[in-house]
Amino acid sequence: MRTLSCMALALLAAGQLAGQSIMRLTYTTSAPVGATKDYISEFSWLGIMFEPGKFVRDNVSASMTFGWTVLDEKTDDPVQIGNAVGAQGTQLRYLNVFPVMAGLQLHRQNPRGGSVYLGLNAGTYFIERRTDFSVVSAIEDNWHFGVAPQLGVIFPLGYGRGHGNIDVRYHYAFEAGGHEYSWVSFSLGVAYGPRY
Amino acid sequence: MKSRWRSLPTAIAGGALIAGLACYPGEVSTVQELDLSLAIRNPNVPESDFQNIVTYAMPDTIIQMYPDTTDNNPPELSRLYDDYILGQVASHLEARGYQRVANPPDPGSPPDVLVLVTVTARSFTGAVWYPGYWYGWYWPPYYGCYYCGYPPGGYWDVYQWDQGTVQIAMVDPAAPTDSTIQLLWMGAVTGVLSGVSSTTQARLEVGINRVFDLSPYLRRN
Repeated sequence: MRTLSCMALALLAAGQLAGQSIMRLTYTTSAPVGATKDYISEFSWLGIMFEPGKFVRDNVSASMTFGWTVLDEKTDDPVQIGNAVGAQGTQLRYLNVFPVMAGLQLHRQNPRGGSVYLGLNAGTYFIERRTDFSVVSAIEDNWHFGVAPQLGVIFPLGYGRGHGNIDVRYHYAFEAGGHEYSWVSFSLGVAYGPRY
Repeated sequence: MKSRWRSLPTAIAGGALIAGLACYPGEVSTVQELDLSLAIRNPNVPESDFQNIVTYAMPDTIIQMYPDTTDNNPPELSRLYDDYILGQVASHLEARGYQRVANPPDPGSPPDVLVLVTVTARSFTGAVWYPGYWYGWYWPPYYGCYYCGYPPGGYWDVYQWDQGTVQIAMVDPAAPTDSTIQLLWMGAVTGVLSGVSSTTQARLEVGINRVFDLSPYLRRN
């Protein structure tokens, strides 16, 4: 009986979400994977994401993603240039990533507030790839088409419209300028808007 | 009390955000991190050719190269590390199985290759003249007579090097047929002698080690 009551309450609450806005602001860390790991292998602790959105249905939200993530590494790895030139020295490698994406999230609401969601984002990444080698810098800027499936949870903090947010996302930036990138981001922050 | 625990995730998120944004990734923090070692093999010379080298000759002096100048007495870089550099180069070549012969070599029995160590005494871009083996390099008065008459048998090359860059060139001593000497291989450690400090010798050691690490094909069969 109690379970049924909870489910009924949840459904009732869900009915109130459509049309409500949601804004998420998260601190983002990232782990490079795939070919990106060959260039930068270190975990990134520097990133931020801002995602304004709206519930278009009771269990579906649409969002935009704006962010900034920096992956970087200092390395002494030798570099082979062609088959005749080798170079070694301190390299500072950076990837500055600025996503601009649109996404849809499918939510499964928790009767006690908050929700678990699964989403898919698509759009562009502006990526600056910079390698400082001795006194020389090689900088490449490219716009990449990209996709980013996500899994996250919005959990109550006891502040009415303010909630906590944890989000895990796989980012894939398709090849542009001879480079493709992928990484997994782990975000922790706040979500403001929906009253569950 | 409960509300304090509820505010914890927000505080963590906010603190992490501020801390993360406050620490932009590291930059170059020491002059050593600007040192760059290069190893350049003449692409027309297969790696296997270096296995056939048995002997080499190397002058006991490091030549300091200048851009074209009207100064008859251009200032020199410190020569404090000349012996150390030459010793390091000789040590590496010996470890690779190459045998050093007397300098100047017997013209009737020339070594397989010559190893010439130079330092750029001033940053410059442009053409530089390497004196020929048959004239000038081994016989006075090349040293100290910068660009003394461009003797035949040398070669021009174009560079952009920082001041204090150590260059180790391995050249073919065969008599040139078209006024050029073939450069087989070159190693360089950029900028390391631009100033002298307590770390100079350690930087030289690391830089020269890297040059040879980058050239695994330099090894007698």
